Amino acid sequence: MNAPHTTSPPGAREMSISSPTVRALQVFVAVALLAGLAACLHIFRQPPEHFNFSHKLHAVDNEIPCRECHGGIESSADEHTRDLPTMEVCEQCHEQQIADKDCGVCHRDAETLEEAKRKEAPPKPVRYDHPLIFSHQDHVPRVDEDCHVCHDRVLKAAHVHDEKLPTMAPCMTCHQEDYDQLHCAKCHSDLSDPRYRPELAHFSHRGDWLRNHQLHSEQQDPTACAQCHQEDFCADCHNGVDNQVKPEVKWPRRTDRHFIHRGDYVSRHPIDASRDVQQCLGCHRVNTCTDCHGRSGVRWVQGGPDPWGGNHPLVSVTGGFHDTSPAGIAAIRRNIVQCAGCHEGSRPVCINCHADAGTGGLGINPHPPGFDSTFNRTNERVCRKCHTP
Amino acid sequence: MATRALVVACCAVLIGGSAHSAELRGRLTTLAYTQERFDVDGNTEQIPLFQFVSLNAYDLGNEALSFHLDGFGKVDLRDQTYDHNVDGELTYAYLQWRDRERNLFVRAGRQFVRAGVASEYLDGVYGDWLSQYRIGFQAYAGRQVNDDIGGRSGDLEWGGRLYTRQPRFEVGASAMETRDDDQTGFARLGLDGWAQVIDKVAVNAHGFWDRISEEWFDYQFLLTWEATAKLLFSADYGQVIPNLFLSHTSIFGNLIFSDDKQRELGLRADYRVDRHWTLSADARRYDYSDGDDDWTEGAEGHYRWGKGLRNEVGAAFENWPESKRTHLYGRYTFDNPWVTSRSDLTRLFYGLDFILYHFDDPIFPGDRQHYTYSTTATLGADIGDHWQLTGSLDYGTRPDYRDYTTVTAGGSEIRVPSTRESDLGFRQDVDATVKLVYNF
Repeated sequence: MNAPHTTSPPGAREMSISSPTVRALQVFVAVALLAGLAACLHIFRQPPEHFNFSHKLHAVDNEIPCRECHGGIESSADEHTRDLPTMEVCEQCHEQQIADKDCGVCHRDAETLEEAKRKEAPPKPVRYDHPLIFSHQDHVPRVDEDCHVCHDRVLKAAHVHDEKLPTMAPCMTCHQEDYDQLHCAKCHSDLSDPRYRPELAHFSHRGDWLRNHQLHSEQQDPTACAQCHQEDFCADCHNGVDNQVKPEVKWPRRTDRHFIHRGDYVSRHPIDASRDVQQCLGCHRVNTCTDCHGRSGVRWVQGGPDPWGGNHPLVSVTGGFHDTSPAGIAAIRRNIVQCAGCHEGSRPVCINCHADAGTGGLGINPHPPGFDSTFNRTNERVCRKCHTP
Repeated sequence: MATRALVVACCAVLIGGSAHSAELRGRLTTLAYTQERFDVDGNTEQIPLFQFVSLNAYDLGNEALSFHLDGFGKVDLRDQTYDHNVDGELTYAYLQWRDRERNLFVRAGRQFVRAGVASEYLDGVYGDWLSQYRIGFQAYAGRQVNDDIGGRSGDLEWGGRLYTRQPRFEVGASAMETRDDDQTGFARLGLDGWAQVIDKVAVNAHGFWDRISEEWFDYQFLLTWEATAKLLFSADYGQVIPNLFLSHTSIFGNLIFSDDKQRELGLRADYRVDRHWTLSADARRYDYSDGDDDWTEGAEGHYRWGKGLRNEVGAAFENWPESKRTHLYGRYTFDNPWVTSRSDLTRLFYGLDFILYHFDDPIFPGDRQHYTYSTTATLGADIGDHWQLTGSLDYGTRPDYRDYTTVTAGGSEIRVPSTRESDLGFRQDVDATVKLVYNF
């Protein structure tokens, strides 16, 4: 994939060559991609739509009461009970079609058609993929047995596969306080499904959530966050360990995970770090800087050349010494952690000059005016870096 | 390492002992990808192999008792020359006892603690109780988990927060302290709060006081106004003393080098045209008590569509004092649910995403105009109820900063980045990622 580096003329484009191991991995992935594509095209098909059925035609145009077909729903204590009508219920109106074996009037695919022809076979359970904690037994009396209070969208559905589940709106007539206090778990057993995420993010993660969620997390009941997020969701970013996988690499399908360090962040991170380095420390520790700078060679080396060629990003450097003007010193003090990215280590470079002679330095005092009256005398650990005990 | 192993072993015994009634959920993620690292030794290629483990065990003999663990191990299949090529971390591992009726939970083990001024990572205990009177108590104690070169690992730490949580506001007061041997490391107090001032206006704020330096080292305010259901305005203002704010993680600790303060003022508007379109604009000003002040402006728009709004295209622009940056990005994911004679293959998906980033920064000598481009194609399959296999190929082009030269320093030859006096070259990379996930 990448050839041993050779210096090329300025402006030239380089095409690097794969090593055997990496090439093998690429080939494997490419073959897997092609195989999957071929499989899709030739083997798999879209799921069929089972029924020709219109709630609008039955419940509105023909004014059939809901209970005629869904009579058992009042005894349903959980959301898993579908209470779909059996053939005997449909037969009350469609007796002739059934007698004539004109199954295609209602059944569209061969699988359910076979079941229909067997007649005694119960309807195939419909997989319910919107996990809710809900009891019709509790709720039907509360709406005076008027199903339309929640299921008004059903009446507009011209096809059985049109959306028929209630929206949040009817729920809010009674559950507004639960909503306001993020007691989502009262009704939603699992909000981790990515289909919910855009809507949830809209109401709970608006604005510049990435920048501001620190403030929200201070007050937020952690169990509220846990309704949508497992703790490893937070740990994907707030791990602070060097060499961690970026969220968009770990979760390539998640659009909400594609916001960290877009593009070639290596090139622009010095600018961002100098502006707002505490943002970096939300996810990274200082050794993230020192490890990468150490490996890449962008670091101070005793007796070595200035890797910036005189264009030090923070402060001018002349003859191995930094700018000692008030502005230069202010820049260093403001960005001391950024300095550590290159200059920290088992023996930070600062100590060479600013430690006392007993510790191997030149004794140049780095402390600002008034320092002696304010620093913490009880914590000597850092002081011993420069001062002889 | 021994402590970590002991923690995991104890947890494993506990879980095993309660396995007859435990409900186990979790995810194992095996991920390998190729990448290039800048390396003075010339070992530029890496193939890190990660194994992530996330485990949640509920109802451990008691429906209130659960165990939660997350961690990873890593080994580089190609490059064994670097310290972190074999790595691992027990990110968190704690037992939790939670009484939902009484709004009480207690955790013991390695964990993240968030309680006002405390934002800690420690091995210890943490409890939170919200009483029926809406008065709450948080308390924690333990040893810091901090593998930083600042040498703060193992410092004792404790703290807590007293708060009241009401439907339209919450106010809390917090404190924390750390000690190493008999010396105080950090001692801080905090006030935090949130309030729904009027129907569409909310305020978040915190202020943190350093007891040692006797000053406010961090305070922030955030105001949000939902002008309409689609339009949100927000404004934030804050001030930090960076040396104190950052002293947790640096060898420089709380050594006060200066009283320089950094203030930020941010203004932002977000307009959600509909569930697909979102537009935003923001401006931010950085004020330094001893230095230049800067404004930055930005704007972004993106469009999302498809099932779960998983597909998106967007554009963003940032105007910094010395640079302008533009980037375009997009992602397309196609799910193909199918029914086949094989009951184990349940879903196939494809993905394609791209990013084009142009920036104009005076970071390196020579040409300021840089751009990067990358596009990633992903193919994955859900297999059965538990497995997911994903493969991605990423093709990208970006500036090449790898111009190294050999110099003699300190009596030995070393490789260091050389500087470029003219245009940077560009390099093309092809990286691959393979991921296998098992959900249970």
